[in-house]
Amino acid sequence: MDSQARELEALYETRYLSFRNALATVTGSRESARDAVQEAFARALAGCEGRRPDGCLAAWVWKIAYRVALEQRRRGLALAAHEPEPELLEPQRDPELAAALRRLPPRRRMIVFLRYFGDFSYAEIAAACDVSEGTVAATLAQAHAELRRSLEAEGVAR
Amino acid sequence: MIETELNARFAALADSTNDPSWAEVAARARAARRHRRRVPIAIATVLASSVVIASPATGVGGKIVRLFDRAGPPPQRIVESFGGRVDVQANRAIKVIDARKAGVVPGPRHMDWSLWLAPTKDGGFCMDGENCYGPHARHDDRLGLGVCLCGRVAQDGEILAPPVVLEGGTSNERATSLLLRFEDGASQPIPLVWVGAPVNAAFFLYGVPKRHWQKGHLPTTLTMLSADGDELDTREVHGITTRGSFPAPGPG
Repeated sequence: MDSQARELEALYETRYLSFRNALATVTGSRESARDAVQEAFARALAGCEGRRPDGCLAAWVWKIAYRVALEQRRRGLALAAHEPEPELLEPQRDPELAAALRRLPPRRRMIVFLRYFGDFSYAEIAAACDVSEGTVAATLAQAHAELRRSLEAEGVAR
Repeated sequence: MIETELNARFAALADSTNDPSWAEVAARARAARRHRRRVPIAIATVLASSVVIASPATGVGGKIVRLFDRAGPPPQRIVESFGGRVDVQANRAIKVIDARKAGVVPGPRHMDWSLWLAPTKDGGFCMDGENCYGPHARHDDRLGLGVCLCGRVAQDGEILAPPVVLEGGTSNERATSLLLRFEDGASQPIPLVWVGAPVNAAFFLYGVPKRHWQKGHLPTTLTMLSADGDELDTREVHGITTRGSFPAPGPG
């Protein structure tokens, strides 16, 4: 087994669950998210996808998984021309948070999901989204402020 | 702190069902490597065997030939599919707007599986969701064959939903059709679609019927035939999994 294969297996062992849960917000189900994560790690392991030698492994696999998820949507729905809007799978379990998340723009929401479901570091999010770490920090700061406002407003209203 | 609160709320929402299987990943990777090796279809040179044709689909020696520049533009989703990709190895510019469909396998509820090709500015071409090939790629008279379990597959390998697709191609100019044979003795002819310059290669796409997803009825070989019935190449068909093909996930 080469070193990249060992790294991939170690990443899989530690991050499979968080990848799947973050991706489920895109695919809409745990089963399809699992399939996309499995396929992404397989493509990475098979060497089907080019990786920059200095690139972040987690971000690279995430990008493959995200693309697989989009392919699934395209194959499955044949209509999904637009980027998906990530959503909580079971919004009824925390309706206030679900409503607050829905008020975020989709890209900001995705970064929140990467952070809190995917356990991605700022550097990993930056690599996964092709932005700088500063942009990630600013985006999350904005998202935190908006979520705090929304959640506080919900709390007052209740 | 909002971050602490979000951590707690997301943790409460996270699905803790732990269903990883590295063995399945490894099995899929092996299948992907086979798939990647499948289409050294290549093209001799762009001009060597180009044919002057007057319509988008014309019979030439019993073959269907399609030209990139004689049909309507692809749908937006296909443009976006190609547009989002970069051919890293060659840094080729893909002429996405000229992408053309070379075949389609109908799926349930309009879940069609199609094969799209797009020419590159340097005279090569790219396949939708696949590799790109340069204008001077090696000519290959063999049959390229890939298997795609494009629908849902259970963790143990049982195929739950279609389509199961055989796809591939050749640049053998004598090839006119294919014959698929099954374990139960049945056989099925499959047409080849020839694509004109700059591709100059033939492609096929075939949806394996559900009755042939079971042991005892699986596809065995795919044979490439000439117009006069000569067997030009035969490939074994592997990769259609059945119940028990993948090891069960471990406890972790």
